[in-house]
Amino acid sequence: MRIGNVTDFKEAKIIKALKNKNIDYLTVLITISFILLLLSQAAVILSVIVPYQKEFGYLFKYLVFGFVLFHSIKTIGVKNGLFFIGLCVIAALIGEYGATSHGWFYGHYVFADVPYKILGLPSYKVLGVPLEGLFSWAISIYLAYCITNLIFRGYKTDVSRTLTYGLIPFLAVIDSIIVMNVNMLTDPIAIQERAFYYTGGVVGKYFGIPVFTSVSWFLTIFLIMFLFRSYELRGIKRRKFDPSLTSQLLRGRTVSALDIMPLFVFLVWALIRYGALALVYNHVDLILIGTAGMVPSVIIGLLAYFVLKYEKEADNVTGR
Amino acid sequence: MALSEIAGIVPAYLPHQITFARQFGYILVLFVVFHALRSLKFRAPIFLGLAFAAGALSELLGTTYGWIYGQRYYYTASDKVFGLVPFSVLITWIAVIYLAYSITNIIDPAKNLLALKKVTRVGSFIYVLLLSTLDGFLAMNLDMILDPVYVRSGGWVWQDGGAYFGVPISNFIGWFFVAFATTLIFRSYSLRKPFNTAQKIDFIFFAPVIAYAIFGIVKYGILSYVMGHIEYAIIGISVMFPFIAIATLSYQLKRSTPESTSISLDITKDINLIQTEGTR
Repeated sequence: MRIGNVTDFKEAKIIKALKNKNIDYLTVLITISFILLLLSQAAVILSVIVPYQKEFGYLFKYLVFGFVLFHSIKTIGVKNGLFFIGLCVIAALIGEYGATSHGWFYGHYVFADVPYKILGLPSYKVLGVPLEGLFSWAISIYLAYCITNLIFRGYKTDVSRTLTYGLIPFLAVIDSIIVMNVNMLTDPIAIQERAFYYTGGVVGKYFGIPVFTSVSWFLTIFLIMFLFRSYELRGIKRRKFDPSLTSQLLRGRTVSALDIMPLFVFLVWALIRYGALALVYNHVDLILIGTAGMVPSVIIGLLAYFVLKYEKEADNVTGR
Repeated sequence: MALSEIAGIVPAYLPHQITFARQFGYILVLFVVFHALRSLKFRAPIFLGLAFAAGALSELLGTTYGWIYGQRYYYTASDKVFGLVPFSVLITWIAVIYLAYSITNIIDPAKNLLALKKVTRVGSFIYVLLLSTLDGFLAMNLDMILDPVYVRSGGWVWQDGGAYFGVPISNFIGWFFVAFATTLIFRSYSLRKPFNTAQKIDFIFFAPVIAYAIFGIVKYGILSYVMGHIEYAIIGISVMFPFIAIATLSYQLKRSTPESTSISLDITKDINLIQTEGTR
């Protein structure tokens, strides 16, 4: 009887929530895309057992991009989220176009025509740069941005005092080094797959990639993040650090699955996916480099999450 | 230590400059011993002894049986302890493990770990596990540049070679576990028996990060460049720099927070407070 009452009560609550349209659709979309991207990656790794499993696996990049889009809108707002992704895509397009057509900054390379794998649709290129590649830059940079923000929040400082323009370069450097470590694994794999190749017989010292390419991309990402973080801080300062402002940096001690999801997506997106490919190409050394470069940032993010979560509970115990 | 490194980089003008530069490893160990005495006080000998024992044991087992690091290797130097491992290598383990331990402590966002313990025992254990994992990565990532440079220069030889520039992957797993196990023992002991070591957030607190950067990135980065293997340097920078950057951020934030001018590991007061408030 009691159980029945509880169930009735729960059902009534759900019905009430539905009637009031009290559902956070964005959180639902984030959760769905998170689950789907994990399943999609599993579909790639497992051998084909169900129809369209391969096709579902090819959707992985788009599912991660969907996750990033919804997550950014939810945690930094529609305007900032779209501006962030737009900035990353445009900067990546300029960089890649400069390199592929003129050999600027990153060496002269060309993207191969990779046949599009989903239902035989053609591959899209913008100014000779695959659209997928541009999405990839936005994904990597956004996930790095989330990890850095979580690490920053773990120190639980008074943001109105510590979050200054002087701190922006430190945060941007951490963003950039996290993305650089992604490239340290993904670029050699892309070279192995012949997704792109350097022209004029250039064979770089790092698994075929010139060392200055990594340095140039590091500087490019630093510039992107320096600009975005300065813009973001300007908005925060204008609103006088109003906690109701949609910003990851102003979430304070409030932690939820939204904070930890990017850590897992980052691991699946960059390490597991490309680690599996490295194994296919018999490059266990690349798995070592990827693990050594990416896992520590994730662990520090987890530490920050733990501190925010458990110290908050400690506060509840003490009644502070 | 920094002067010794500079002496090795700049052209030799002064008498005994090169001899001084060659003492870098010993000076680093000296720095570590003094730093440990300041931060760990009476527990410094326990930590340093543990680090030395773990490093020495792993080296002796590795060179004799091929254990810990996956395969046998041998040093080419003539002066060796028991004819197996140079003394300089054995004591360098103290520096490697202590630098890893203290950089993790700088990065550690928790001011007081045992305040977490009061909430949940599982949480505090997971936390210690994560800290020690970070220690393991700090040591392992240092070896990502150190080992290829030494193998290339003939400092030591891996019997069967390996996938990572002639170094076996198992070697890095070994480095990880030596540092991980050592600090896990010490951190677990500190968790059970807390001690009072209030640490001032000053330059000395941050100095291990600089020592790690000089030791890992500057010294071996230059050596790899000189050898014509800049790829070792780029790997070294990419895997070590996240620690340096995050530790710098942490130092900046901890220093700028008034109540964090010193980090106290004495949690007795907090536990009493939690217990008192909890019973109300």
